[in-house]
Amino acid sequence: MSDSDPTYLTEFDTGTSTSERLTRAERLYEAIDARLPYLMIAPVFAIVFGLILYPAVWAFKLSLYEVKIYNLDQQTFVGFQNYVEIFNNPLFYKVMRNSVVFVGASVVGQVGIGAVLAILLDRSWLGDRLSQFFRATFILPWATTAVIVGYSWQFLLNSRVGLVNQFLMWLGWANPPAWLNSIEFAMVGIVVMNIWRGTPFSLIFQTSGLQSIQESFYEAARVGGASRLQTVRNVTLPLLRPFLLMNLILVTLFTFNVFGMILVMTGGGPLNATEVLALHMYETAFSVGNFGKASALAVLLFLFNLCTVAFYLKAFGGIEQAI
Amino acid sequence: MSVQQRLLESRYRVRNGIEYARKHPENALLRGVGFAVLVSATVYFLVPLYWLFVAAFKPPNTIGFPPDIVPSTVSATNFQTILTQTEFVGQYLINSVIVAGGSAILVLTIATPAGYAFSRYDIKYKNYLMVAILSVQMIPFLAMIIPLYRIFSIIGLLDTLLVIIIVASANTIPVGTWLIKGYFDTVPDGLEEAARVGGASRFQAFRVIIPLAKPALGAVTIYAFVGAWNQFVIPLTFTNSEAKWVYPVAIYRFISRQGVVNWGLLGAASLIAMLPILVLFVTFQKQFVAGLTGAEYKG
Repeated sequence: MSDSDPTYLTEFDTGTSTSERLTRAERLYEAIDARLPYLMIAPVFAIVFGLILYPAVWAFKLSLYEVKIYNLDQQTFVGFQNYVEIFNNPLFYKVMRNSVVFVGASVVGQVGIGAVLAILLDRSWLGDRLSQFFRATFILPWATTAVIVGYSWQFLLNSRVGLVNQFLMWLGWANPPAWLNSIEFAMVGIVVMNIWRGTPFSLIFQTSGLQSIQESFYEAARVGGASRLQTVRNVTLPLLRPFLLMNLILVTLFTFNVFGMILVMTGGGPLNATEVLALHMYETAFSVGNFGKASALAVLLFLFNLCTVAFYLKAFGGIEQAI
Repeated sequence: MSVQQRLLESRYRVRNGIEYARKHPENALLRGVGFAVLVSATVYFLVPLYWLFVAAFKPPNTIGFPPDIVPSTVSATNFQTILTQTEFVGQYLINSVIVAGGSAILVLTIATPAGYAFSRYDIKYKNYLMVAILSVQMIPFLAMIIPLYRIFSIIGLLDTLLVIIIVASANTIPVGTWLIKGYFDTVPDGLEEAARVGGASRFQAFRVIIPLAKPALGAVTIYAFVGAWNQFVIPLTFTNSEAKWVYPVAIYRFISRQGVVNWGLLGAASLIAMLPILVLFVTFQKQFVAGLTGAEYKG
């Protein structure tokens, strides 16, 4: 069958009529088709611009104004006053310290545990059934709604009806702490909860990284007589590096934003011991009603994100590592 | 493969395995440790859910001190209470399904062509555009909440399900586009080329190749569905009237209104919320992982 075969061509044509109207439609169709790649990506950029970038710039502008939730139309330009107020408030430093502890511990836990579990479940030495069972189990927390995660951990860590303290007492610890009501231990509680919720994402992400490693590398290692541990150290981890970097970046960005679960679990208490930046921002906006100051906090949050990502990229040697 | 061949093969494997184990005795230990780690992880991941599950099936007023680790009596009263308070469950679950389903459809229709275009065509500044899409994730989503609140109040969309769909989708579209692009990268383009040579337009070629990307499309669907299903802060902030609450918001309002948490009811309500996602995951687990990894097309 040749290209000029008319019966073959019609199969792909929109219309076979030769009338004026249809030819014009055809011409339009062709013109659209020529620009198709750009038309295909346009909606993504429309959404990214309209719903993320434009609001973000607006948020920066708002941070220079005094805006109250009960009167959105009355905006007074105050320059950097909101920022000055934030930096003069001792609570901000406490919130910052909480955020660093919360994000740091969560990221280490999530990426670390995720990587270990992904490596253990890779190359199914357990057999398909068992590794599938483990994978399905490990994905569950990610599929759980934030509110439910918050409440279920509140329930689990409850000093009276919770399972954790019941178990600790059974082990012989007479007076285990009332986790979420204690200033020292509340942070431990929300970190353990957040690692629980976030690890599945890392596990899935690392799994996809591991599966992109060609089988031939492992064969070479086996032929070379490497033990399993040596294989992990010399083959798996180096090839996993770009995925680890991407994983670190994403998990850090996610974790800086986590507050729904904390809102439910401790509400930031006791005595602001679990108040992180995102929660502080949300409360400033919607409980206190100070949109200007909340926007300033959001801008600071963005700067911290930027610094962290820049730090990761520097530590890993450039963005090329991640693409 | 014939039976003899298979036997030979397995005998060869066993002999190889024994030899390997003799050379590397530490691997046996490693296996043991690995298995222990997996089992502890299972405990960690399952216990909070187990505790919720147990609470849901305990008869009312039996959750106290000391808690029974295995309930002595089982009852479905909590579920009955939740399900008969139809104003609590019915409407909110339907709202959640609308939001999650709507978001999945929206994300799929926007991310699929974009991911395909990024994978197949020469687009100017392609790499920069790809990085740009992902780096907007750096902007804290909380920063957008106030301007979006203002925008939606101006165009009068506050307190609608549509707002939740739109915002939830905006959050999942960047990663969704990346996933689909990554998957198309692993699909050989012979089929489209054949179609193009045969005179098909770009759009027709795109339609030809779509079915091959099913695993990735499935994975993105699940990703978007779960993302929207689990939305809490957005609906909490952007909806007010009870008819527009989604399920997680309903649970939150319901419980914070009661003051004292009724753990049994909470457990039952939570299990109901998790059920659709569980079914989704257990059914599509294999496809989900394959879709995220492009495993099917790896040589």
